Amino acid sequence: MDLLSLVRDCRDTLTCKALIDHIPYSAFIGMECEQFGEEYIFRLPKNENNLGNPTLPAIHGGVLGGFLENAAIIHLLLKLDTPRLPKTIDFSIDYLRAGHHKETYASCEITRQGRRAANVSMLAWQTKKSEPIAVARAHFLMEQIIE
Amino acid sequence: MSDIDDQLVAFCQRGMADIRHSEVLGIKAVAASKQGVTLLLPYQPGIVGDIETGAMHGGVIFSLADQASGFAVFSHRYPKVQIAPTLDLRIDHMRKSTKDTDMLCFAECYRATDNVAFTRAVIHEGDIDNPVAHAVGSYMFLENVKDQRWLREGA
Repeated sequence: MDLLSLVRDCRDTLTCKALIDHIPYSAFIGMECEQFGEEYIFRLPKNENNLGNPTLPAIHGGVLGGFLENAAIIHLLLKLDTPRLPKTIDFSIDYLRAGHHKETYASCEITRQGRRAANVSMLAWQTKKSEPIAVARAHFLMEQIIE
Repeated sequence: MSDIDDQLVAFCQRGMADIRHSEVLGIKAVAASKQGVTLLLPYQPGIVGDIETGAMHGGVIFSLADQASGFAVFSHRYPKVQIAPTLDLRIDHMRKSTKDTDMLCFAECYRATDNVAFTRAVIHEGDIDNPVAHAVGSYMFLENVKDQRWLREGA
C-alpha cells in the first residue's frame, strides 16, 4: 500500500498504528498516537531504553527531540495529503524541565504551510500541558502536496 | 594522542555505558580531547526514518549530536567534573544519510562561561566536508553534581 492510502486508512479507522509502524524509529523509542476527533496526541510510554542520565533518572534529551520530530512528521502526514514523507530541514528544541522517567505526551501545530515547506511547533509534557517539559519548532520540506 | 586524550576517550566510553539510550543506540567514543569529541553511531535497521531510502531518522541524528555535544562540554572542563544538561539544541539537515553507513559526529565546546557552555557539531559519514547535518547547542552547568558512579570511577 502506498503512503497516501495508508494515511487515508488511518484517518478513516481513527487509528494511527499502521502509520506509526511505517517509520521504524517509532518502535525503537516505543511511541504511539491517539486520535481525538481531528486532534492528535502522541504518547511515549515509560521505557528504560529511553533514559539518559541514570542517577536522576531522566529521559535522554535526544529521545525527546526524536519523539517530537517524529510526532511532527506523523502529524503532517495525517493533516496534509502528501505521497512522500516530509523531510526535516531544521529542528530546534528548548528544554524547559527535566523529563522524568514516566509517560510523556506531545502535540503539534502546523504554524504555517507553504507550497514547499511547512513550519511546525511541538510541545511535550508529562503532568499537565500547561507545564511543558520541552518546546520545539521545525521546518519540513514537503513534496507534491495534493490540494 | 596524549595521555589525557586517552583518559578522555575511556571516560566518555564509560559514561556511555551508563547512559541507557546511547548504549541502546550503540554509540562509541572514537576520539576525545579538550578541543572536541568524536562519537560513532553504528547503522542499524531499527533506527531508520524512511524505509524507501534506508536513511536514519532525524531523531537518531539529533540524539547523536546531543550526546557528542554534551561530552564536548564535559571534556572542555575535564579533569574538573561538571554535569551540564542541554538547554537548547538546533540541528540543520544538509542531506539524507546513506543506507548501511555508520555515522560520525564531531562536537566542540567553543566557549564556556561560569553558567553556560556553547557547542557546535558536524554530523558526517567519514568525510567531514560532506556533512549530513550541523548542530548548535547550549548547555547549562548544574550547581550541585549528584554522585555518579561512572564519574567516581573515572577519578
